[in-house]
Amino acid sequence: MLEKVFTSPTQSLLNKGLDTASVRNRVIADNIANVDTPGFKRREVIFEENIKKVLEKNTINDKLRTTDSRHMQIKEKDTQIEPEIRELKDLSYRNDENNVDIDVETAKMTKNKLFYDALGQSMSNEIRLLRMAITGRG
Amino acid sequence: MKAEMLFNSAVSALTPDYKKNLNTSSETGNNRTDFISYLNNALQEVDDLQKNAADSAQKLVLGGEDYLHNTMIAYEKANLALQLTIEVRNKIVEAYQEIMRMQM
Amino acid sequence: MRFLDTIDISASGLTAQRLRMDTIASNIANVETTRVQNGKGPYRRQVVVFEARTPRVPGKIAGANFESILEEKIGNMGSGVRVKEIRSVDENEQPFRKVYDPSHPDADEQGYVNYPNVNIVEEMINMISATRAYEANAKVIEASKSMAMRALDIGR
Repeated sequence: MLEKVFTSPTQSLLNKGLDTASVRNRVIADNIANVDTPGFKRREVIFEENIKKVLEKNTINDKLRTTDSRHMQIKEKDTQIEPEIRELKDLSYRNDENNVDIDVETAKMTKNKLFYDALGQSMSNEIRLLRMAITGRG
Repeated sequence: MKAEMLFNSAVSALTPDYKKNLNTSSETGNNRTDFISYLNNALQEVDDLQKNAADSAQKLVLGGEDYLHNTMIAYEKANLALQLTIEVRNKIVEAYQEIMRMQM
Repeated sequence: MRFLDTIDISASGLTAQRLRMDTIASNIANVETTRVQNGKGPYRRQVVVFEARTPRVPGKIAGANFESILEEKIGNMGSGVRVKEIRSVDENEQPFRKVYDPSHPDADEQGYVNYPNVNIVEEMINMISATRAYEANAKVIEASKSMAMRALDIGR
């Protein structure tokens, strides 16, 4: 019973998002470290697309009743999807076959950091709400 | 273990003596037993959450932890679970004391 | 300790780019060096050879086999970069700059002096590239550090 209180689907999703951002941080760091390595192909982390696909599939199949047409029902098992690392063999403008664009990667790094901040803050808020409910104090 | 201490204090509020003093129907008797097992399960979960937090901290020290945020979250969950248990225990003790007062 | 591994990766990038800067600096400093201390001919241009590092599996000695690397939870994740070697560019790859000057002490029989196969403009461009890459790696460390600090604030 406690499980449902402390591991809501929202929290699981936030947690997975944090995991994804951590993996993404590492992959981007690796891309930038290898910006001049001959033959290196950049990698990226996929997660949001995968989980959106799963959620949309569920909404279509299960016809769950929602209070708002924009709501997507998240089931606990949906959040078991792991972040996935994909290597991109796209076109390289360089002689050494390296396709890392350092500006794009730096921009992604900034975005990712903000993403992590946002999720971290949301997680903190979830925990604070629980704490408020349990103890009556912030 | 902290959880065990709390469990004991919660159970002592529902000791057999206390049950004997009331005119209870078998129905409410069953409910009370269910409540104890329910409490037992909940406390087991609290214990598990604390163990998770301890494991995560251990992995952190030994270098096996992949995600720092998981350690923090584990600690917060264990903390909240413990607080919840404390509040529930307080309520039980309060209820017991209330009923004891009624006896007079 | 994967959450701190990211900083190692960026550090490897910093090291690699710094070594690259060093070779560039050496090339530029020696652009007119017609004679090397222990060898024949002029200074040869030096280049760094970068190589992507494969993940180090904890507990295994260097030379972990392919299977053990596959076992890693999230596969094909890199571990930064390393400088495989700093090699000299031979005159077959990039010919020396020949200047006709019979009076020069290092002139050969035909009166030509071999100057190093260093192209200043190319070295300058590489220097800018190395600087930018170095800065980008430093920025990544900042971001990683700030993310970790954010994680510590969860729930506080």
